[in-house]
Amino acid sequence: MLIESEFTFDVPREAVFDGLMDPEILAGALPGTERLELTGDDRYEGQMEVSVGPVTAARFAVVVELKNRVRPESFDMHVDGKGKAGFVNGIANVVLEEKDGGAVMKYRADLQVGGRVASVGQRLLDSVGKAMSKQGLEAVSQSLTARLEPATESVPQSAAAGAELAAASPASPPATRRGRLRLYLIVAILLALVMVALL
Amino acid sequence: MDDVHLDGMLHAAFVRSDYAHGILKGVDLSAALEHPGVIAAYAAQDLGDYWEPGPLLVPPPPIERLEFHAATQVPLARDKVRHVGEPIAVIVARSRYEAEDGAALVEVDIDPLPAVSELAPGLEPDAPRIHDQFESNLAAHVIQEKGAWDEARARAHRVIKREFVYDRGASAPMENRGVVANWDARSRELTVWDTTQAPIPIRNGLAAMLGLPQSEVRVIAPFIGGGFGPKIMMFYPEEVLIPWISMRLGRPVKWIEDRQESFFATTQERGQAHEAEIAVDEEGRILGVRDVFLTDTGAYNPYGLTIPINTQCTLLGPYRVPNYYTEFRMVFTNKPICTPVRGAGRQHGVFVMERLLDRAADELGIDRVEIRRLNYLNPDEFPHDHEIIFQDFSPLVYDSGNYAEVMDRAAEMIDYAGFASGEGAAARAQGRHVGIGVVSYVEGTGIGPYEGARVTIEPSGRVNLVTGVGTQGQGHFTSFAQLVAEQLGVGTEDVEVVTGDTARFAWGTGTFASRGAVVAGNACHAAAVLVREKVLALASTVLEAAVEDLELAHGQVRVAGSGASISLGDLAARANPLRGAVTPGAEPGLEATAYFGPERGATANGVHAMILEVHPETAEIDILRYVVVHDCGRVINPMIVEGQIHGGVAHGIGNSFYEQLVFDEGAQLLNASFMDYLLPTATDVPTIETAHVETPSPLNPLGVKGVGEAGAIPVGALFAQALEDALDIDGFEVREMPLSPNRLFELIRDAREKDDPC
Repeated sequence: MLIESEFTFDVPREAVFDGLMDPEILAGALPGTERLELTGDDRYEGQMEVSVGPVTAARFAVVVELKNRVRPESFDMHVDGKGKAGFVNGIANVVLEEKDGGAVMKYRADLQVGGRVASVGQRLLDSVGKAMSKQGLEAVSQSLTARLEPATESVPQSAAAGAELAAASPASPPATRRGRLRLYLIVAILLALVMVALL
Repeated sequence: MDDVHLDGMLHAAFVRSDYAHGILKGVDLSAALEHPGVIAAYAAQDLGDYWEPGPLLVPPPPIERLEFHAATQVPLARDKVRHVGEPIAVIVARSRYEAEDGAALVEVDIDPLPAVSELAPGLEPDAPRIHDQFESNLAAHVIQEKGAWDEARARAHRVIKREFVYDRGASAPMENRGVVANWDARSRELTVWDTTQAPIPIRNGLAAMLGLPQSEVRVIAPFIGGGFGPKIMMFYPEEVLIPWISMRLGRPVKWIEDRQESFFATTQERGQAHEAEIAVDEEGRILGVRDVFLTDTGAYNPYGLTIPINTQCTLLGPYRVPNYYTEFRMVFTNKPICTPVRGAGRQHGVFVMERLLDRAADELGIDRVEIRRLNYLNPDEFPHDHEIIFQDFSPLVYDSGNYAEVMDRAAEMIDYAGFASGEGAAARAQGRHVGIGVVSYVEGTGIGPYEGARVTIEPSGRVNLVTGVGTQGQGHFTSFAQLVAEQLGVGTEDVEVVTGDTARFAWGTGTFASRGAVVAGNACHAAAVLVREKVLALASTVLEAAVEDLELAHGQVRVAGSGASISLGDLAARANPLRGAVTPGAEPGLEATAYFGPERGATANGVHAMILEVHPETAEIDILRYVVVHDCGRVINPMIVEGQIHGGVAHGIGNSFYEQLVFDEGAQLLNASFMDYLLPTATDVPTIETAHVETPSPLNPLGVKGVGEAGAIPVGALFAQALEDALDIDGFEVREMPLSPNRLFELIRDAREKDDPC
């Protein structure tokens, strides 16, 4: 089965490349991933739950290996998924190109599918595969954009404010929009207090 | 089969390979065994000495130029898996649900290998090897020859060469397979209910495998919902394991195949690729044919060479072919096993010959029906020896036939002569694409070795008939009863028929190759004749009349003229006295057992004709008329013969335009369900007009020939011809089967582009 498509990100390709190396972000790129952990050099293991037409809630044990990394241009992703509903394995080639301050990711995946997922879900594999890729990449795009937003936001050039900001921002990027909004609110209030204090 | 319920019965589910080809490194049953409800679990290593490859069911026939490599299926995979769906482990639990849950917990470690999914690439030197004991994936290589093809070719007016591809499909019976086994240790009896078409060989084989005397094993093949061939495949893994498990656990065990499983676990028939040539003189007479083909056997070849030998033989058709060269290579592939499915390789041969004749007719400007008439064997040319070997190991000799008469009837029924100027012209004027097709074929039927039957008249007057073959919907209970009723002067409904129970009758082979009526039918007839003789002899004494003066009717024996009579029941009681003397050597009762074994198969034949409309924009088809004229010798029951023909035609329509097993390059089956494997429905099968010609067979007392597979055999060739006639596009040729709206659309488009590139 061949999946070939492209996706445009709003963030530079370095960010995309680095983001995809992060298990949390990578997990988002694969919808249905319940768990994905870095278990070795460029090697991730985890669990996925996928539905393809009449094959519902099929659970797969997944191993993902990243190879031929050329930051920030390209890498290969070797995927090996096995479960009671069959198996999916293959290689995805990913190429990142710069475009208008963002990045265009071109990917091509050649997958072997077997077992029930192939024999009963075959007609839908194509569309499900495309839908999953699109959904996954959109989730990644959101995460990446969010991760970078606090750094690119305009901040008052005062050391005190900077320190406040550093103290106020959490150690890792917030995972949800609500979390981000809460953060902005806290920062805004602190800034306001600082400015009032300075006046 | 699923109706069989026994107290304490356990249920089995199988763990099957997801990979088409791979090294089986290990099977871990521990988690499965801990699942609640799971009683036992077995993998290959747990079978000990019981693990062995199945028997070679059909050894190679005595053909001179023949190479054969046998590789049969195993009960559970060990070391290697060779097709998707190959059984790896079996879980036994209190219910099927728990067994399936347990099966999901089995850890299978397979190192995948590249798979062989196509024929020609499978024979390349660097192709992945499926059976390491052989040098390649060549399963067999056979050459049969008659006369001298090279000479025929040299003096021909025209030689036409084409390549053809013909694919079949699954048997898709309404009832899937199933096995229930019960070992009763106290009475030392193993009872096995099995959806097999061959209960007697299964009994004999299981007894040998399990180390039991044959008398302690009973196999019952109940009235099953359809067989169509794959149920004559014997010693399937499940058939061999379920009885063994029952003996080990001391409990009844049941396994019922589900539909998805059936696409992998039950055998199927698949494709051949032919390169064929025909040499004709300027009048269209066949001087010779040469055919070289590849044939798919799947991962194993337990059924030997039956399918391709049928292809070789049936290609000759009803025609005079003085010179013939035929060669095939059978190839192992990483797909489910191929064994005969209704037609058993005959379709492929008929397609090649009928297509070559159509091409010859085109090139020589001769009418399609005329070229066939010209080449038919005449009624005085029988028996006709084609000098090559048939699937029953005997030389291919046709017994009788009147091919021209069958063609004349068919051509008349469909008004072939009037079509072009009549209906055909009218349709064309309306812009519709309507075409007519007519094809003819023969079918080798009624082969040996033999069958047997026993007829008994009970004191109640009831007549019992028992025979060893199984029944899957052919109407045996009617047709066999008719044969006996006729002899004994009782109503057909008064004859009670039992088939497929080795406890009742244990000598015979099974239901396959269109032989039930011919072989078992003649055995039933022979047994009835013997009982009739006993009835007459005893009645002659009892009624004090000469045998010639006795009549059998309405369950009575009557003296003609005098009115003295005795009922068959009373006569039966007299034949088994409690007092008095019996002539030494006489047998008690009114009972007889008889066997029938034909010298060789009887050749049936037929002509199918069809008027078909095609809608080129959508590539949809409508069958406007379908005519079958068939000669199966003497007809026992016309309704049953028609039923067989209708069923066969429906199957043939399926194989022509709807059914196809689609595999990817990894030999993964992509359409293992009726969502995606299309069977023709009631709206796709037209009303079939039938007529019969009866050319009796000299090979059996009843003069019957088989008809079980006839309907399915020529349909692909017929579709091809009718489509070409309907579309009438220069260069549009149908050289493959099956088609589909998609594929037909592509062919039409390609032909139109070539015909009119702008």
